[in-house]
Amino acid sequence: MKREVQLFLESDLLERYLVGDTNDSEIHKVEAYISEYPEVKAEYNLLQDNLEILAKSNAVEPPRNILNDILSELDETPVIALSQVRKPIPWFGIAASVAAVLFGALSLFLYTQNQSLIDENNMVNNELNELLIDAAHTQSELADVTKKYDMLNNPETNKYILRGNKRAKNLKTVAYINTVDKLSMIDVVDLPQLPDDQIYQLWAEVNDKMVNLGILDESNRNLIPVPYLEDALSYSITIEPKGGNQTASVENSVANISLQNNNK
Amino acid sequence: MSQNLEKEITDLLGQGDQRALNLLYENYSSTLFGVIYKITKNEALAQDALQESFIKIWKNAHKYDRKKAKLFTWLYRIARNTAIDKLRSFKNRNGKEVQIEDSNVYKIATAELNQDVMDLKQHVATLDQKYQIVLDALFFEGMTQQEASEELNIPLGTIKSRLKIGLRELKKVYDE
Repeated sequence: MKREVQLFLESDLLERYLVGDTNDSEIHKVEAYISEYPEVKAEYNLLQDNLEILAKSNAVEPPRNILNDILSELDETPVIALSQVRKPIPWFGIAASVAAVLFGALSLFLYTQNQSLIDENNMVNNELNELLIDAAHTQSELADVTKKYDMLNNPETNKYILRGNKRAKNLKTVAYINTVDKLSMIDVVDLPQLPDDQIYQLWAEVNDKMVNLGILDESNRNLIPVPYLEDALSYSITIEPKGGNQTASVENSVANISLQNNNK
Repeated sequence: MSQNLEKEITDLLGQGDQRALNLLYENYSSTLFGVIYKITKNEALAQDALQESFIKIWKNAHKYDRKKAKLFTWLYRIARNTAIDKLRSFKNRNGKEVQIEDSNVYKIATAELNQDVMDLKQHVATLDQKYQIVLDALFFEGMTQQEASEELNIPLGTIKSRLKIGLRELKKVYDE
């Protein structure tokens, strides 16, 4: 026997191969020896025989049910399908289903209605707010108009018409003065066009001094209040440089009216 | 096992014929269960391992090569490895060694074994204890020769010689 075969047989490689306790390279080596050396093959066959004898001598009868368990597990018959026979659905089941569907539909309808009403309510609230603002504005305007109306119709109110001289022929302004209530208003009826660098300015003569009552322009066409001066003797309109003047340019006077009834 | 029966079984296995499984179970289940039971020392584990072994045998039948091993050797390898895996998994789950008296191993189901096996048991029992211990360690405890040497506190050379002498004596006992 070759030395290497003897060494191989003296190792436990063949026994480990017999029981399946070898890695891939060991398997390759053992199978090569078995294939090449008849004495190794003979030893391997002897080992196989003895293993079977030894195993048989230790035989233990397994429980009978194991074969059935194995066959059941290997049985590839698909799982039995669920019964096709359906149980009739009880009447209360149908009633519950119908009720659930109706409840769902009703809930959806009510929800939609509720959303619609919420939207409508918001819109109405917005409109109401706008109307309240409009009403307040109108009320304010009405009060203003009423105030003006009351003043104009007050028997104590005097009306003065300022007409332009030759320098402003078309100028026409009406002044309303109520000495009892100490109110004065002016209504610019017509103002002739001036160059861009000039304006009309309203003055009141008080104690030989001309007191500035403000600038007149096209926007003053509505009746507007002007400061009431107790001792005013007359109203004058002059042409002044754009932006107004601190002292009246008497030489540029275009209208003048004496307030005779004002001095009571 | 007769070569004719072995050939019949392997032929049926190759054809995927389930009759092979019945023949295998009929002829090898008690031997494989004995191997598995001796490794696991737990009846429930052993039953699981036996069932799993036969499933593996059936599913891997196409891998069996009669030129490389006798049918029993191939079956034994599958059963042994399955039993070792089962036992390892069981120990991992339970975190402790399985505490079962070895004597229990031989108490079950012996009455149901056939007479040949009973006779064989009696013959093997006559084998010197020192050989039986080494054979058990190597074939049923999953030990290598080195591990058996350390576990049994026997020199490696003695393990090798007892293995060879034990197997030779076993053959004699069987052939009687």
